[in-house]
Amino acid sequence: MPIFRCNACKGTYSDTLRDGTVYMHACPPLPPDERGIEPERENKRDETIGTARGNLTPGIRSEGAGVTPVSHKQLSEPAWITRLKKQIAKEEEEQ
Amino acid sequence: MGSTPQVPEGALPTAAGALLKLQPHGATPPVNAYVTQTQFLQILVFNAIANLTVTVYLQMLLPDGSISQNAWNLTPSTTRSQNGLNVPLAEGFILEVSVLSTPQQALNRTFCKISIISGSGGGINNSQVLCAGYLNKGTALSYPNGPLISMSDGAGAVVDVTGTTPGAGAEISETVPTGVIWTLKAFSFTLTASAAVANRFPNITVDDGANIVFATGQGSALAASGTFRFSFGDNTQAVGVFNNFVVLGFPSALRLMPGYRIRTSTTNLQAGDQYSAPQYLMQEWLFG
Repeated sequence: MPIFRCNACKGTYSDTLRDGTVYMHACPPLPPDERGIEPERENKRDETIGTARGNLTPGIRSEGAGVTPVSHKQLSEPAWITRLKKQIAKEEEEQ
Repeated sequence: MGSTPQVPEGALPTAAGALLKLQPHGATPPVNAYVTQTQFLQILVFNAIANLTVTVYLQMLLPDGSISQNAWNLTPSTTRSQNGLNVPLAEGFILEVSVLSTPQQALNRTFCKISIISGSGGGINNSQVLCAGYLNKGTALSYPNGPLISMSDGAGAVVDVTGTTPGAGAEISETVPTGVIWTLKAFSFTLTASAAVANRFPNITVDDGANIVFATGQGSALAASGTFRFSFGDNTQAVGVFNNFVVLGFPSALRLMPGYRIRTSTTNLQAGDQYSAPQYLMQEWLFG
């Protein structure tokens, strides 16, 4: 299964679980500051699906700093995100 | 031994088919799904499985007395978000709808709802839900006499997740995806401390994306160059460190909504400390 490294938080993950379910990465917050507040990263990546835009298929919440493939160098991002983007582009073109 | 069954006199029909009288003309269909050309058959699918095809069959009685049969195939996305198809209808009676999925492998991972709707675009009105439920092996959704099940009904599915391996010195953070409700069953990971001298105190935090709703920790410090395995789950009780294994307390049946996070928050985490990828079991219901 393809492995990716998040360019924002440096975490590594597979985009597919063993049963074929997609896995959606989201960066952890930064360490707490002196007030105990854990701020989010400015370039945070969040692959969970955003809110619906009318009849259009929603995309991922935030690209952040992108990802780097670790195992499948020909991929620029998880395959399910590429398919989702193609579907969104097709729907926007049809509107 | 047994004797020949006794049949009451007059209990058997005198001639096969002679007792039931059918009305051959002007008969009313035995279902109440009359539709017109202004209505649509709405097919909604929420799915988490790859390479799945959902097939919907429709049988209608048309005004001229003929029966039409149609079928539609959908290949839903695997992101658990809504996939929809609105099929224009002819005037007539819907006699039968059935929904199947292939291949049928996983339990409670694909939900389908079939409705009759009026209007289109932003003016859609649901007029009747014909059938709704999870598509599982050996079962089909159907109308009439099919189920009307909510997405959050039933036992849900069990999902085994391998999370993100954090970068060195970073915390674990796992986010509940959009389109599901999770109940945590088990969660486990390791922390390997670097050679930097410090006492690390890993804590577990559950938040709604911003605000903490639950937090727990343990009193034993992880010193330099050590490795602890941490585990917690549905209704676990906290126990002390035993042979570098730590069990943390966690509530029972804590429902986690989309956007909720389970994460570590470590006092004195050092730049070279390394958390493993968490492995966790979740009970999942689709939630559209």
